[in-house]
Amino acid sequence: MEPHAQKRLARIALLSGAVAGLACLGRLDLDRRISTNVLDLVPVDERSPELSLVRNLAGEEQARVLLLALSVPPRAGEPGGERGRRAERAAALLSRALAADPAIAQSMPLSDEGPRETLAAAIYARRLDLLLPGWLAQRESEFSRAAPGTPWSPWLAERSASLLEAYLSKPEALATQDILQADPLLLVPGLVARMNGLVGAGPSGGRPGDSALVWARTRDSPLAAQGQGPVFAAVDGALARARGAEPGTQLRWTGIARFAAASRARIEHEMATLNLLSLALVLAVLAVCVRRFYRAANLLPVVLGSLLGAWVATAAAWERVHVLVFVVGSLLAGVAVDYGFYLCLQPRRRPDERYLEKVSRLMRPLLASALTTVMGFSFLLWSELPLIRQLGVFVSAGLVCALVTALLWFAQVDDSYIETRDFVRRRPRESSALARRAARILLALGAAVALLGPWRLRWKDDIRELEIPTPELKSNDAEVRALFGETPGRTVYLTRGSTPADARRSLQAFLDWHRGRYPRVQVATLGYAMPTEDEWERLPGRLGALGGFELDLRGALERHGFDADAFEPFFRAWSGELRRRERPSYAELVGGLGAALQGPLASLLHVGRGLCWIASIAEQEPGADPPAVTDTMSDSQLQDLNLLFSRYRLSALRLSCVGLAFVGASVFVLYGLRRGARIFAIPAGACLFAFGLFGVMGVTLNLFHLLGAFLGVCLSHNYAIFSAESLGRSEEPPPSIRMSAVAAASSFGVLSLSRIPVVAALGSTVAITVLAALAITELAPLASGPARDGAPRQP
Amino acid sequence: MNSARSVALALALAARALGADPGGALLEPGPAEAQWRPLIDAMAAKGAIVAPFTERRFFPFRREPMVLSGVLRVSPDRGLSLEYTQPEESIVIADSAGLLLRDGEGRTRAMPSGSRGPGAVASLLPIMRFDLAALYPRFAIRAYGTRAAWRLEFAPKDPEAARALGAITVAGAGENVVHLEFKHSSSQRVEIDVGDARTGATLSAADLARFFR
Repeated sequence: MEPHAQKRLARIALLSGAVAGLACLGRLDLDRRISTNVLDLVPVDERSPELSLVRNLAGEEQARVLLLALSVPPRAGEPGGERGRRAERAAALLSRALAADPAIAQSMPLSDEGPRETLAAAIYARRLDLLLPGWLAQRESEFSRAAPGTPWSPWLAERSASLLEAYLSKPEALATQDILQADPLLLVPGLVARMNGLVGAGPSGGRPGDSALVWARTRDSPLAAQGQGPVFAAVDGALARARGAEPGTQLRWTGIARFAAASRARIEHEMATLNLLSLALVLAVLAVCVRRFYRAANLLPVVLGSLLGAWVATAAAWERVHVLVFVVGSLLAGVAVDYGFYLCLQPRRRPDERYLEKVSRLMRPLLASALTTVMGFSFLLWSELPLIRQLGVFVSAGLVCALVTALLWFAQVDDSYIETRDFVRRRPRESSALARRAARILLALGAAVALLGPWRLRWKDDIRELEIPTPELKSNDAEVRALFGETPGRTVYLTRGSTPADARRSLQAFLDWHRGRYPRVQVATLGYAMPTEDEWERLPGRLGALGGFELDLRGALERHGFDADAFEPFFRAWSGELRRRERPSYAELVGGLGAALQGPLASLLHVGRGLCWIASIAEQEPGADPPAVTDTMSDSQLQDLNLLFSRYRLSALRLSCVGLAFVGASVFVLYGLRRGARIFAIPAGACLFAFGLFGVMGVTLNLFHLLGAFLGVCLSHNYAIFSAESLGRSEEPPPSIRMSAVAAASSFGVLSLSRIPVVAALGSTVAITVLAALAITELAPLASGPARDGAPRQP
Repeated sequence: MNSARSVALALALAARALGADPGGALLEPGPAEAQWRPLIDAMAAKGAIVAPFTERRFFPFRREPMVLSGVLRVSPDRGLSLEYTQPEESIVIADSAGLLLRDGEGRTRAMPSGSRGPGAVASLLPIMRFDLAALYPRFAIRAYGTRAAWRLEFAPKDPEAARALGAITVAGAGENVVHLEFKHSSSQRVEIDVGDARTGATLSAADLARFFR
């Protein structure tokens, strides 16, 4: 093809690609498609129990809760307690202002007894349905163990009267005496005693001191924009109202919306900063390494074409893409520039060498490196994790586009050659014994690290590391939650089930486990107010066996000093229960209890389609995780999702290994066994060294170290191929290897500065792997000594 | 309870029964409390108190009261503690942070302070401290008798509190409290007889740890 026609065609192709890509991006609603919700990083159909629970919690009303604590400045000579009362008045004002705002669905001062009274009334009114089945089962169990000579009904009556008499000596008897005539079996007082942890603290109350507490729920998800800005404005407006009545009112508040907004802002800032820094470093590498620096502008279209292709492919392939993909993927620039370096740092063999001739000479290593890397990353498409699949597409598409753009761009440039400075190309002609020994010692040390270090590796994944830590918000959150009673030294458990019956059955298994594991620690749960399905179904039969219980109980009460006639309200209810023919289903029974939960109490029990969970609070530091059979997760398990991500990590490891096996196999096919082994040894050795170094340093690794290693192996694989190709032609390794490695290490090194822990993990792994590969490429020829035939030394 | 105190109590109760002083003096900040202020100041300044007590709980559904006994402790700094020893061991603590129950095995739990029984105990704290500044906003206080045999009646001003707590009566002889009563109705009340008090007692660190929050 004539050079003129070649240039025209290349320009048309480049322009068409750029216009098509930009048009495609312009048509996509990127605001909607790019997500900052960490839950978008895991599959929508993920069945992992802890994740379905977290997703449920995040999507349900619990995630929309705002906790607000107000305090007012003290006044001189103010009587004790008055400051607290003023704070309560300010809280009532703030709560009313919040409730009137369209962004807020519900708001109430925590001192509002309404939700607790509603729940108490619901339980009291249905105590024989909710509490009698469990009470009878417990007494029946005691009766079986005691095996007395007395028949069941008289024994039960005597036992009930004894318990009632003993109860009257307890301090709490004075608080419940009004209901005892209707509840001599102590169904409700028994529940109250066991629910103490929920009543006195936790979701339903706290010890605010001079603060007044307000609970509110937003209308929209805190992870959406409308659940953030409008909510913040509503809080500001409500605070202004409170300050109007009580000047100087201070507000501390927390909610997922604050974390989500801060995370989004920080990630956006991080994206801009890291990309600029990365670009600056690549430019700095170019400025230092090449003559006529301005000619390096030819590399820019290659990087831009690569990123454009990657964005289009990823955004078009998924409805929702997490912003982390773009943060990590944007560093594709460091990889994409490789092909540009390789093409433009190679001089023409002769002044009249045509571009197509030059390209055909370089095409084999270019294709070999690009396609093997693309093939390796394509295996990530089989990952369970959307983030990994998206990264796989982003990098693969980006690399293909980088190669195509590089080939087209340099096809329409008259002279693309960029001359490197001498020091970039300089290689020792003869290695001295000292240099040889030093190189061997360094390689031996590296090998020792690579072989021994990995045995010291520890792995742990924590979903929280996907976000930028916000210590000030966390500290504020802990302080506010402490005011609401969520103090350290307590563990919250969530027991799940697909139906209320499943959840309650699992709760029983959890309570049994907890009693055995922590015998002195009390667990408070609303689950105590729910019979098990078995207890509920056996209730009619058990009542049928107690036809004479009323008479027996009257006698026992009299014997214990009670006026049996005073318990007429109970006996009427008991008779009604014996005559009852129809009862609600178990699901209706629990659903009714769930419907009585208002405001902050809604976090005690969730009855939904396909997923129910029951919260429990134990007065103990987080410790042993409940066994899987209990279907119960502690809050710490739910916060880090380590188990789930460990599974994903193993899956990613398998895919990476398969991908690397194919990359290795393709190298062996292309270059034969001996050269292929030498080529493959460089990325494999560099990767092992990186892991070994992490092991020696005691770093705990996660899924992203693994992904970084994979990326690092693919990059260093490029250098090994380029180097082997040159050596095969008895040429010095091209200077592009050094420049590519330094550029890649710089741009990924920038990532290691990220405040997002997983991004830093990925960046540091790639940077170390790439530098290690460069070191092997440089040191191996030195260590092997002078070549016998004067040809360049084989690495 | 020693005989002199019993006589004083009997006199106080008799005076009430006979209507010797039917209206009593309504205590309010200012001159109205002047007559009682020296006695109240003296009682407020007594410092730590340790005294045995006997409590009788009357329930409308029980023919005889439940009788409990134990040791009452008042710490000016830490609040009020009722250590029940009979018929079973438990401790009720009322302090500025609220109410706390501690059972015989040392397990503690907070109690809702708004309800009747615990609310009565909570109201005991300012009463036993004779902290009129804290009591005036919450109670209408009437004083009966003389310094030798006196009785103070506390009627909650808040109707809800009045419904929950009923009337509270504190009777004493000289600077000693000898009788407390929480009366919701004639069949529903709690009476506490306070025995010989060790005033100015020193509560050891172990006592403070065991009997207070």
